[in-house]
Amino acid sequence: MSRIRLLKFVFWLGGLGIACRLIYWQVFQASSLKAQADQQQLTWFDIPSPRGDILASDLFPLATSVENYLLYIDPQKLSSTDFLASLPSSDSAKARLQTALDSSLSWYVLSHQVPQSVKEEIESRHISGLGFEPEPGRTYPEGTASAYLLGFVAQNQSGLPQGYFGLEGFYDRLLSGRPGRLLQEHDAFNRPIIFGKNFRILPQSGHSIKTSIDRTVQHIIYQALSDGLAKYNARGGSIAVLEPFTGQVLGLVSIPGYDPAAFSKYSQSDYPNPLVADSYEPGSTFKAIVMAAALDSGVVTPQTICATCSGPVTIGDATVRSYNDKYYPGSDMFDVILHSDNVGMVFVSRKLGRSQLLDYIRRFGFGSPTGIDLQEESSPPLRPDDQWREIDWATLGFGQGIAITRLQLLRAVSVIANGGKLVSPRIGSGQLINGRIEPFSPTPPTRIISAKSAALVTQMMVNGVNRGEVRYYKPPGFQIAGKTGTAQVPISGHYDPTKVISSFIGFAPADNPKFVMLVTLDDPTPSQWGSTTAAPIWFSIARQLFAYYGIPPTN
Amino acid sequence: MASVRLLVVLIVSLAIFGLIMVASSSVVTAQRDFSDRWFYLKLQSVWTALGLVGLVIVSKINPSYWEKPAPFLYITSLILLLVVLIPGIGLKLLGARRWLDLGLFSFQPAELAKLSLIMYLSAFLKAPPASRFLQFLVLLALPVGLILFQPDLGTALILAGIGLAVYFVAGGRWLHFFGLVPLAIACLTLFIIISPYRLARLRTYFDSSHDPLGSSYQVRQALISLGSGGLFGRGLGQSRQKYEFLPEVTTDSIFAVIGEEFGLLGTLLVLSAFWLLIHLGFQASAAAPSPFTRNLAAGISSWLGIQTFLNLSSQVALTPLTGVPLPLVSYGGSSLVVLLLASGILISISRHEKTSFYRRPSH
Repeated sequence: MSRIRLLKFVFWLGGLGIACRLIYWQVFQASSLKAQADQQQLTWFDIPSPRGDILASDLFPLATSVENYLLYIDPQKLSSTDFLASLPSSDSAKARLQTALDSSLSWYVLSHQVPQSVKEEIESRHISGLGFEPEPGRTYPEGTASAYLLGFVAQNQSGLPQGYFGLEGFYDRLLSGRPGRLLQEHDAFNRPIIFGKNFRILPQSGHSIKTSIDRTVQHIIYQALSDGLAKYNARGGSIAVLEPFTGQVLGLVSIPGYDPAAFSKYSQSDYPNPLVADSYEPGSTFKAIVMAAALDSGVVTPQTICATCSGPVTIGDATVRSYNDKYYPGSDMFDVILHSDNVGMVFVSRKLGRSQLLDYIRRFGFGSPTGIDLQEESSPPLRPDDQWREIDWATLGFGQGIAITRLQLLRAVSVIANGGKLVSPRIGSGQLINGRIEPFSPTPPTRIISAKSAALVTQMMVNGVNRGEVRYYKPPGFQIAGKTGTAQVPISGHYDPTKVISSFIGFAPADNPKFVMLVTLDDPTPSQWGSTTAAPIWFSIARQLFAYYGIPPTN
Repeated sequence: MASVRLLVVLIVSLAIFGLIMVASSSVVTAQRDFSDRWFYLKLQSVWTALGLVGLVIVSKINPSYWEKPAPFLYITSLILLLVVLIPGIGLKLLGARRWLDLGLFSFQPAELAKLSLIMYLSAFLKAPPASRFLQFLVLLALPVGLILFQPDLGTALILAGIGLAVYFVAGGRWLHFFGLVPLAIACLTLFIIISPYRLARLRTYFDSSHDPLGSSYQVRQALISLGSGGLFGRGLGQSRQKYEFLPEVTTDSIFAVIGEEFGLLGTLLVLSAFWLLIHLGFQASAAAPSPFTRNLAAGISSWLGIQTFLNLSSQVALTPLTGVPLPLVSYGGSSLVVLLLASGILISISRHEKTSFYRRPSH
């Protein structure tokens, strides 16, 4: 039967064709098809890693993680809207609700970061058409007072929490740990397969960071600053307290601050810490630095008599005057600091000369970041030497014509306080690993001026406090080195007559300082002098710190 | 008699293997639709048991017996194919009227039509059919036309193929035969063009980038199943594609699940089993005791061959998608029972080979 054989052959050919196709798909195309299978069957989910805490020096949390919730609604089914008032940001929720009601959506996020207590309160009302989903949140027990220290946590582009600004930003990698991943098999409708493989990479928790922040100090300076702003009618202000030998930050506040737990309600320009991110012209506080440079280089001694202190000094077409147009011919260097004498400082600058002066300025750390562990730190650049005209570097002697950050000044004055060494300011002091604190290795201080020069400037600053205008505020019996400053604010080439930054910087006890502190006030009115605004705040804080640290008066 | 035993082993093995694959492939949809993972397995087990009993009985009956009831069965099938088209009696599922609702179960008359057409054509064409060409055409066109009305192109193609094969084996004239092929192609083309979903399937076949989630979806999902099975497969029950990625997972696409769970090894083994089954069927036809039984065996073997080829070639994207079940393996009571009965006939023909007149079997 050749016909049957022929028919059989046709089917045999068909079978052969199928076998070839099977080999093609299951051998040669297998890996690409397997990849397509994985792509449609598997999904990776991120498992958030618990974020580490930021702890004060007494291990009390300054920032810690909490379980918050996002609130979503089904606008079609929502039975009541009277829960809106309970929400942390009820105004924006109201606006969002209107958008949702106008839409045809059935799932709409109304509010983020709803605390557990609010969630429970809303749930107790049994409103239909709304629900909650866990959302990791961050709480800041010290609130606004520590905003500039801590920064905040927000979602980054990939939806993961990320720290921005301050310590949260700087230590983000340490704090956030490594998120875990969950591989899940799912069906064509994205429902997980119950008996499917679940491959899990466990998240690695972030480490907690211990800081040198002393909550008592922080509280004292915050209170003093807010009281001071009210008292001196200032727009804003900053205070920072450093341990002068190590550079550890004991306290740091700026007002107005923002609430890190509700950062989105504030303008982006509120986020950076003014102490490390804003530059200003230091004014008279800078005299201590230039004097230290002059003494260290040997161009002057404390007994050097100012030869040009009898009246205004003309350099090129500019005339330098003292702030009150009073002149003290025959002043020695103590007098120059005591009277905060601009003309005297021009004399000192000229003794140093341009290159030596600028060299010292750089050695004191100006023009380069302090390296503090706050993410937003910036450093105003210092012009190259050959771009300084004589009038520029001469006025540098009294802190004009240079932009610095407040922290840079504080670091420079720490050099005088600690006997001549440049320290690296630091807030974080160690990380908590398995309940043990592993200290960060600090950058060792480097000597930049002699201990003798530092001691001499300290004496001048003590003299300035004891005999200057500020002596009325000084707590009796304490040796305090300090310097006032009233800096004008340069705006496009000239000084803004309405703006001023009043400051006082100093350290105590002068012979073996426990702290070095800077107080700056923005636009205090009507009195704008550092000696009558910033200085009283400084001394009131110092008084409390002496009590807190148990430092007795010496005489 | 070794070939008879091999035939029995092949048929029973494929049916049992089919039961296992129905169990594996149906768990997800059974759970979804009936909250019982083994719902389809239970039903299919009943049909397999019934079919195997039928197979045993039929295999004992002398195959020549079927010549007598063949016209009656043919007429009955035509009537049932008509009835199924009547709205209210025929069950309309997925846009086609293919099932008769018999209360306890539903029944697909088209499956019975395949067997009865083979029987009647075998009887009608037992003498060299030179002068009966037109009658043959009418006999074939009636069931094919009715099935096209359901509409069910895949089954109509199988029926037409079976008819042609029987006509060819029965000694139809080459000229007629070759005249039929262009006619069939012309009909097919017309039919495809007038129904948009078939046209879409055809366009998918020629250009797989066209309409990625529509008609090419099923083919792509089948290929992903086969490919992700690789050489040795994921293992029994481990298919991921059955989680509602693969459409028609227990019927048209069951071979894709086999490929995913047992890999190339499994698919080639199943292919070889079918190839051997068809080979033995045609051998029985060649050695059949009478022209009727020769036609009958060739018809049944062609049925197995055509339907297997159409199913597998759709799954491996060798031909455009035609939704036909894999014989003996796919879920479906009517198909399985009728195929097992047909296999019983094939076994009985094999047992009554011409040589057996001289060497009678011992049992």
